[in-house]
Amino acid sequence: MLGMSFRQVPRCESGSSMAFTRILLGRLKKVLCGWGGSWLLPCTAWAAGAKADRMVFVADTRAYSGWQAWFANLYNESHFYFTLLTITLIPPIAVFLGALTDKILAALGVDLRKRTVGEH
Amino acid sequence: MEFLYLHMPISGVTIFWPGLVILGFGVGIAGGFFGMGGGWMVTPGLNILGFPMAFAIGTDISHMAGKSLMATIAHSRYGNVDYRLGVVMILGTVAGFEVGAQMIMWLERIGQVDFIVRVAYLGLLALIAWVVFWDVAHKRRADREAKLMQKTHPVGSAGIQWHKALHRLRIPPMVTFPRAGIRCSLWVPVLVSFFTGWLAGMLGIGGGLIRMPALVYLVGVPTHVAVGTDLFEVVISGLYGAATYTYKGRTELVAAIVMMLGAAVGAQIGTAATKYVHGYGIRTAFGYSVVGCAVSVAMKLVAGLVPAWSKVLDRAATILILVLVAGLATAILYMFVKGVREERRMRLAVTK
Repeated sequence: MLGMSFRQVPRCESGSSMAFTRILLGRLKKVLCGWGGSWLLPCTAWAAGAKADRMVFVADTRAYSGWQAWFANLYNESHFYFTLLTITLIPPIAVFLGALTDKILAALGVDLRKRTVGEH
Repeated sequence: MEFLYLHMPISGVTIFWPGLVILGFGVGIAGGFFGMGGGWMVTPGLNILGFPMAFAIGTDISHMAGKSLMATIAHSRYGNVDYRLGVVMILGTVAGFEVGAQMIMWLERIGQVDFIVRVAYLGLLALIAWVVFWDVAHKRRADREAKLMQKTHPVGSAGIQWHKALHRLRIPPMVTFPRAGIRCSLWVPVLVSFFTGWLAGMLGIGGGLIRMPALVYLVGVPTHVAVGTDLFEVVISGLYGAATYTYKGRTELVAAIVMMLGAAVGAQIGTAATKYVHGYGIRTAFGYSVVGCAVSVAMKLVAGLVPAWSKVLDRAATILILVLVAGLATAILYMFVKGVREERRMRLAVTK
């Protein structure tokens, strides 16, 4: 599926799961950014336009610690992983916040189940 | 008051975070009500808050995807989303958008096209506003005439019926979209979405502002379903846009999540407000928002032509958009509160 089976993915020297995941994601990126995924994925997606390519941004991580440092480092090291994180986080956060607001509105007595008015 | 400011780990700026929540709330209300992403409203707002413009579009699109997802789920409960139509239209939209984006890049290589694009955008907005208000005026006239002739309310009386001509095309395959209540050739929504996607790609906008009226006037979808289905498309195109901009390093995810806090409430209120307003009421309010957008584009156009006025006009355009967002959000909030009160009163009357 990814151009090679799981067994074929080279094991890293330390054998740690972190490094293994990194290699696997690297393979995934290679396949997705190749011709097979060129229609779907950001590596070759054109919507952001050529203008966006002209500047390179680097997050200044010197003053950060904890999650902020991890977050900024992830951004600096790989925009691909940062993109994966972004598009993985947005939908569940949206669903969670939407469900929470639903509960609040329902508690306030707003009927969120049916609509009666039409076009006219 | 340090707690009111949040440091953005990627862009390195410190932002007044309640401003982001309020902006998300206002645009969430308008987006949930009109069925559009509202990128043209968010970017000036982020600018005013001191957000670096390099990150504004990516952050806006990321928040837009989340906000539209919340609104789509809420609209879906009211039966306002035709998923089949949405999926068909996504194909046309993506293809059209990329063709438009490629064309504009090609035109940019040839020469300066910014001015032409802005004029075209202005022309398009003027056309949409004219179509919407002409349609509403036609409908009102039909209702008035019927009333004078002491007829009952003319159910189904409407202004523009362009979709009827398009529905006469019998090119197979013919498909039924049950939620929208239409049966037409598959090519109608595909070509309409390709056209709106192409325009959006050429103009560098999300396209909700064009797609919503196109769904109503060209595909023949009822207004409420057009709003919900358009939002479903915004989810997909928003995630796609978020991926492309983030991959180019242009997204401040923390800001997008903070905006989503406000958008969660706003989108639900905007969506719930549609159940208290008739389709033609939504169309009228949409027409006003298009006029506001057109005026701000015109100001920016003049700012580009007259450098001496550029600073003043740019600032005025930004303020105009923010006033428009605030005004629309307040008006929709008012309709929502009025509708909820009415609903409660009726419920109490029934139980008594």
